[in-house]
Amino acid sequence: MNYLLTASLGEDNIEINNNIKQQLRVFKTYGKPVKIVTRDYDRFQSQRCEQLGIDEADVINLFDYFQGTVKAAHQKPTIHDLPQISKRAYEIQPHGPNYQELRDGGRLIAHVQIMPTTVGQVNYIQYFDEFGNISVTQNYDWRGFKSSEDYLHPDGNFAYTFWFNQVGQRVLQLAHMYNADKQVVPTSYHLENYQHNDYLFGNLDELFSFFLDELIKNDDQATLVVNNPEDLAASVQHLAGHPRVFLRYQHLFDPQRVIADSSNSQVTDTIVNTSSQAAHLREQSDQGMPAVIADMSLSDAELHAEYTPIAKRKHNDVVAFTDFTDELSFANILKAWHQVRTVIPDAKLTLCSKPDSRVDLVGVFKKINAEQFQKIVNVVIDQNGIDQAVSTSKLILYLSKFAATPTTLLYNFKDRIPVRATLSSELAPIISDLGIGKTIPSNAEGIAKSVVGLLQNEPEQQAAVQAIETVRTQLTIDHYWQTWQKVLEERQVSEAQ
Amino acid sequence: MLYFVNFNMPVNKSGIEHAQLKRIALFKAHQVPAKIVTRDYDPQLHYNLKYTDLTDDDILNEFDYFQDATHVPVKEVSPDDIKIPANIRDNLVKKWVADQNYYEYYHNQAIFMRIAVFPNTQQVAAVHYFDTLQNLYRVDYYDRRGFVSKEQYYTPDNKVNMEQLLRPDGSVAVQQFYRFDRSMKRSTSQFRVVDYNGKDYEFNTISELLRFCLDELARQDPQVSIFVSDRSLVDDWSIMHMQEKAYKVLHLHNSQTNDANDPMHSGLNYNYELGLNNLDKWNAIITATKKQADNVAARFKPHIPIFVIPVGVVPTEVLTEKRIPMSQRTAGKVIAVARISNEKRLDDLVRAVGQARESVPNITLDIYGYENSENDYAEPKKVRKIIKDLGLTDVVKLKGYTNNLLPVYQNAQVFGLTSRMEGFNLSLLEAISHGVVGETYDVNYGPNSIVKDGINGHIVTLGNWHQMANNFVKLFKNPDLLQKLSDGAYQSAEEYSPDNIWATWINLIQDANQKIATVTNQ
Repeated sequence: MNYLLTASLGEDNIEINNNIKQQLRVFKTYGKPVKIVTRDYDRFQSQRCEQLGIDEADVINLFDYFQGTVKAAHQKPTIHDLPQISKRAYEIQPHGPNYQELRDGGRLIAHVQIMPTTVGQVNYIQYFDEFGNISVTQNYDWRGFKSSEDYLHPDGNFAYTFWFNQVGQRVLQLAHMYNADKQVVPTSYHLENYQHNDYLFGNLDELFSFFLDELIKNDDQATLVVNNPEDLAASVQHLAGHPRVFLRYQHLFDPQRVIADSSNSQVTDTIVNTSSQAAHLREQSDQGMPAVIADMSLSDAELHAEYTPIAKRKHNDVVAFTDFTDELSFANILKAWHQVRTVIPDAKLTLCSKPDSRVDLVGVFKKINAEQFQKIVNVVIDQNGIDQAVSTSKLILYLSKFAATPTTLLYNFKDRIPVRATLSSELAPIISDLGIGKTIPSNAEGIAKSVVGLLQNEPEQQAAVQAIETVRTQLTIDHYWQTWQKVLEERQVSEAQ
Repeated sequence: MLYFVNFNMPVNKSGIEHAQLKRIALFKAHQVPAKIVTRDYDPQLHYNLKYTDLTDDDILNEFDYFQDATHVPVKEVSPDDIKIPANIRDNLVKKWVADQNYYEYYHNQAIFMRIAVFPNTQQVAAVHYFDTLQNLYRVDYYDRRGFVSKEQYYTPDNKVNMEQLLRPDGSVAVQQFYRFDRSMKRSTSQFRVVDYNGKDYEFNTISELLRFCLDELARQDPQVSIFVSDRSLVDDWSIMHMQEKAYKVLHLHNSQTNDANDPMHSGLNYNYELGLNNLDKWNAIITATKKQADNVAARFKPHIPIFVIPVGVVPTEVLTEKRIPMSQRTAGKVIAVARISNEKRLDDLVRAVGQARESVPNITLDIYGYENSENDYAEPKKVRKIIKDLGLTDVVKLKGYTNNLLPVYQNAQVFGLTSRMEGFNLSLLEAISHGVVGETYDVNYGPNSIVKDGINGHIVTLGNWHQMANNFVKLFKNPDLLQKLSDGAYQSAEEYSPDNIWATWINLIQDANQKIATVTNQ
């Protein structure tokens, strides 16, 4: 079995989600046994699968595995359906579409939050004591069963989380206690009665290792493709079993770390996106790694799908993929947009990024507002928003170094949208190599010149589209599979020798 | 069914628990269903029944009730039965810490578990779990019958945060939370009953929880339910606020006023203040003596009956036992059976014995009862000091609590009682039933009813220990008088025969059946 590992399919993981969809599709297309394996607890995972177009049967989550809920029937219980709620004892008070309350003679017993986009389906139930403290929060899975409970310490810090199987027995608990610096942090996972044994783990990495070992223990063909190895490499390094392990990097955030992780004896090979990333690593290491695969393919249907030609895209809308932690890049695009607007007054910009907890979005909007760009520059950090913005754009810019992956380029290929990347972007070499667009300077002037040059020049637009049209025929699933096959088989051969 | 409500049935029992035990024996003898209902969690409750004649059928704890654990077969659980996490079984070190009665378990020199056992056994009492940074985060308490009955979760600063009471099958029955209250003090903030007949219920206090439990008992009882508040501070609110129909009885086990000897004017005993100010919520009152019943009636003019039911029952086998003459007992032996607390005023008794010793050199005093820990054992310390100051260390002995008083009664000649107030005093009744002569202050209620002056002992002016000392001298210098009063003591116990006491209960049960049946019919 091929296991495509990722931390989660959550909304925050836009980039990896798109990469892993590519991987899943190619393995399935060629009849190779494959599963996506997710580590983090996400009671909305099955909804995420729906949204991502992934069959939930193709996904195994660590928590689901131990909860025995990898497969679970879907239900949509409302508070009125839950048998444990005594309608005789408590009054259920509606408060619009988002929440309800349980009250006993006016005293708030519980707040019932409703799942977004549903009619009354229970999301979580939060019980309160008479002083207004939260006693327990019961969390429901999107599939309609109570999945976990959260308990707090009196000071409001997380205290314990319990996870349950479908008959309500606790199977796993997490404690949050002091670390050496007297900060309350997750300190242990206690797996209970798993195949008649208990287990104690110091952190999620250890638990994930154990889970992976359980998953592959009877599978001598197990191959792990570790997406976001920045998060997951530690777990595979401590496996008791010996599957083939590929660390699949999208970005080289920290090349030295990549080299260190890749040199672990458990790791079979390392895979990066571009030949320039590979070259960069080879310059710093003599280990002969890595392989190069760009998660970039189009199905027959996608190759022949209808699209809106650039000539029919009436507005001068531009999408720019950026990384808001790269403040210089952000400042440059805002400055550039002033210059663009002096020439093309109706030019509008959508800045696309992945959600990043390090980013202060309020600060981002303040900077945009300070430039009087409230109605001109938009920011989206979700998949739907990005899809929407791309659907009307005439140009996609890749600005900062870690703003996008080759999979992002599929926007250009699907809708034949011209592309420009700054020299600092990790995508610049691949764009050059493929001949699908130009690399441009990172400064405001360079960006503005490039944008104006393309938006005002229809022949250049057509040339850019034609270049994309030529290359896109090479992005077949077959071609993509050959790349994967080569990497997987080469390693098999070298292991056999 | 009759339910006698209390907080617990501990090994060290007070008069109320003893009264309940005698009452249950009486009801069992007459095959009338009755149970003691206890409020507090106690993992040793059923084990401790061996110190009584009770069976699991005779007692119902509210947590046991929700935990489906009223009847659970005893199972041995030794430390070897506790699961060691399978991934850290290697390099495991197990240490026995004898003075703490527990085993410690280490992996890579870090403690991860501690297993405490019940004293002198290998039966697991508790398992302490530590996280990988060696913080104690959870303790599982084992019921003595061999199952985890409570999980206790801790805060980082080592305070209890939350407890889960479990059924024998491991499912959660009750959750109890400890949070900041409005004055930012950590206190019990909520009880959640989980999956009780498929439903969850929330309660702010243990009184609300007990009320719910009692209502459930009443709801399921095919007979008229009679609830007797035996420990009013623990149970009166719960009984008064029951929603199911039931016959509710306020049992005055002690004086209803702070000054028992000023029943018309003195402030109300805090134990009974709520109940007595809500007499419309009760169906009956029980007092142990007629005198108390008269005083309550005079002051409160209740519209409910007051039943005089002595809390003591002298079993037939005691009434018919072979009498032990004074000459076969230890000469000069005075006993007291009382917890050593301020209201028992045992220092007066010590003084009286000290004074009498000047004339009766062989007088001795043995005090049986546990030491009240209030104010850092202030009263026991005081009594010890007086014993020492009066040079009576060889004369007066603090013998502690005992479950076996029979040989004590059979060997003593005089029972001394110097309390400020009483509700009955079961020990005094037991003593006279074994022929021990009573010497008591004229104190309400009980002692001055049980002791009949000149018949089975003497009633001494309240606080006059000199007079009590003189009585000791008179008795020990006059063997005939001592024997006459001992004979009178044996005889006076007849008043408390099972038949006599049962007849008073029958009156109450008839009243309950009549009144509750009437309500039902309406």
